[in-house]
Amino acid sequence: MIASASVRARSDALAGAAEAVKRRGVWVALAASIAFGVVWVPAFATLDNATAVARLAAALGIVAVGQTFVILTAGIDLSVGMLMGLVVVLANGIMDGNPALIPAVVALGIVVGLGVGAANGLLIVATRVQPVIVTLGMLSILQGAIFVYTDRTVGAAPPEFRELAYGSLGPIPNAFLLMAAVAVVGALVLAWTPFGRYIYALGGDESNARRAGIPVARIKVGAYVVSGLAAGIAGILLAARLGSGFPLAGQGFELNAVVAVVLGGTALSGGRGGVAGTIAAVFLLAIIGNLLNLLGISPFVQQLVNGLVIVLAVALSTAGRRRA
Amino acid sequence: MSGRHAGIPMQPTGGAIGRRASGFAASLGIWLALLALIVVATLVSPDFLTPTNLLNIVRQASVVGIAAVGVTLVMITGGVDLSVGAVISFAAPLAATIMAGDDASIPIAIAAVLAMGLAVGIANGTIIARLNVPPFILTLGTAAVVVGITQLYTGGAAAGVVAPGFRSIFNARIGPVSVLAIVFLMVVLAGLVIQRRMTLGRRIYLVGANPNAAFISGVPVNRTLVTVYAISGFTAALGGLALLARSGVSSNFAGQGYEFDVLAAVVLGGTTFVGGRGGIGGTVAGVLILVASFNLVNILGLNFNIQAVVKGVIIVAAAALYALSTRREETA
Repeated sequence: MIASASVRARSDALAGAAEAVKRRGVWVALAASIAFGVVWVPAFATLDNATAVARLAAALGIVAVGQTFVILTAGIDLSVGMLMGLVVVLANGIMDGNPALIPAVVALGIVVGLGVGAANGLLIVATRVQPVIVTLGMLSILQGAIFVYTDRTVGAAPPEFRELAYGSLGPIPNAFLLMAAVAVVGALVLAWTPFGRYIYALGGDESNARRAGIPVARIKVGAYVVSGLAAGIAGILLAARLGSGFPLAGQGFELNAVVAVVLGGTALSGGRGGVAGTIAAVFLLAIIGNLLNLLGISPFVQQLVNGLVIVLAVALSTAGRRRA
Repeated sequence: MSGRHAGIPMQPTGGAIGRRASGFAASLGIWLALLALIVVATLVSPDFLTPTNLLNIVRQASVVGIAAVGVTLVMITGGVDLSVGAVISFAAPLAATIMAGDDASIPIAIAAVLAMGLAVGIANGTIIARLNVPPFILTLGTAAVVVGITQLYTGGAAAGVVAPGFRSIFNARIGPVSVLAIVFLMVVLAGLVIQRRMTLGRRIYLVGANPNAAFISGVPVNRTLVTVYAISGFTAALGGLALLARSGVSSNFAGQGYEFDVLAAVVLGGTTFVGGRGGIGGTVAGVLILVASFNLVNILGLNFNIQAVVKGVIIVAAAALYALSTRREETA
């Protein structure tokens, strides 16, 4: 936040150059980690392993696409993890093995996502409270809602529903296709619709955007609705992958999504970045985790490496705009 | 956030006196909210306004309260510290393994935990100051690092044995007041002295209000930032010791989620993400509001899980009231 104040005072040219480096940075890191795996880790470059990585990364990828919209407006959505968790317990709890209810719970997940997203957006616009506080409050409310519904793992996903996560079209897992579809739609909306252009304008400079006649409040609410919808879809996918309703299933997704968006080159101060970098960062994180697994490194060290990657990446990504 | 900066003309130019006055008004509002909560609680439950229960609330508030003092100073500089939950978690196994059930090792254990907190804080502050990175993401990263170190250190299971003396010291009562509550009050007093009476306190507000102006007018911005993050790491470690004294058993994840409770308390107390305003007085009220409302949920015999919903509603409602009241000031 200090960064945003002093960075703004610096020239835009420098920011542009730094952005170009950052954009390439995540792709370079992704290519390097893949190359490392192909050369040094025998089990890495197999179809089975690629499928497993793509399947695991899909839910985070979907929720991170929604988070990208919100962060582009200089906002943040910390409620998405618990929102996913709520959809997981509701979907599997309600179906409880009955395939006839699949359409109903999919619709429910989407409606819950849209509803929570709209609530976040409207609260932020109406009260002018910082997004981090509103969505933190929502995180807490959703966590309470989950545990009022159930404090233990409930329900079961019917095999037909689990196909969403474990089935595949030819060699490509369904989960990956779903994520790719969400990402492509997200990228197209940002690039080709007025809504997308307004989101960039809003994050670039809100008061300028307002003066230019952009309906700021409506665009903001729209961004949180997109984030809620993405979290709802990710929750449905996670429900299919887990196969039962674990109350804390979504815990941590909110922070991982924010990390992926920032690693992908979208500035927390808004206005710059996009979906492609986010997806690259999601795969970078997934592949690093996968490599550590294949190398037989303990999950504790993996946690440590995960943290160091975040620290390193955030340090590198801002190295170009150091205070004089 | 940049738009917000531009939209609040009073903020960077408020001056020390104006800032203190507006800080006082904001903190008065939060104390009134606490008073209202106490009145309502007393009306709905006769068990609320009893000396035992009130002392209980202060004791329960000690962990979040101690950690929130350091985070308040960080947030006045315009930063945030999300690593406090991980530091609180690490305190338990670190202290318990050093004590290993032996009273003689209590001082070393306490010193080691406080040193660990300082080290994490100094690392946070140094990276944030030197590289000018967003504190939100960076402290998330260091939190993951500390959790990883905790897991490696303990091998993944709860480790160590708390010395019997450790619990009895912290839970002892001086008159009716427990030592934990006294430690909490002393940390608050120390924080208030830093905030109001020391050069460091003035520098913290200046850095938060406008880092560039502070730098140009000769404030050692980097050193100030490292110091506040170090204090935040220190108070988080002390909060971790308080939590261990209350629970009595070592666990690897005892502090999980505390960063959010602390953040909520600080923001409730009127210290915003923008920096440059707020203070420890408001934070104490914010902590007491959070803990008193949890306590009320318990006393009323509501489902324990309703606590999370109540917490969320209170966070949003209080922040909204604060935002709406400052907006009225601006338009007036």
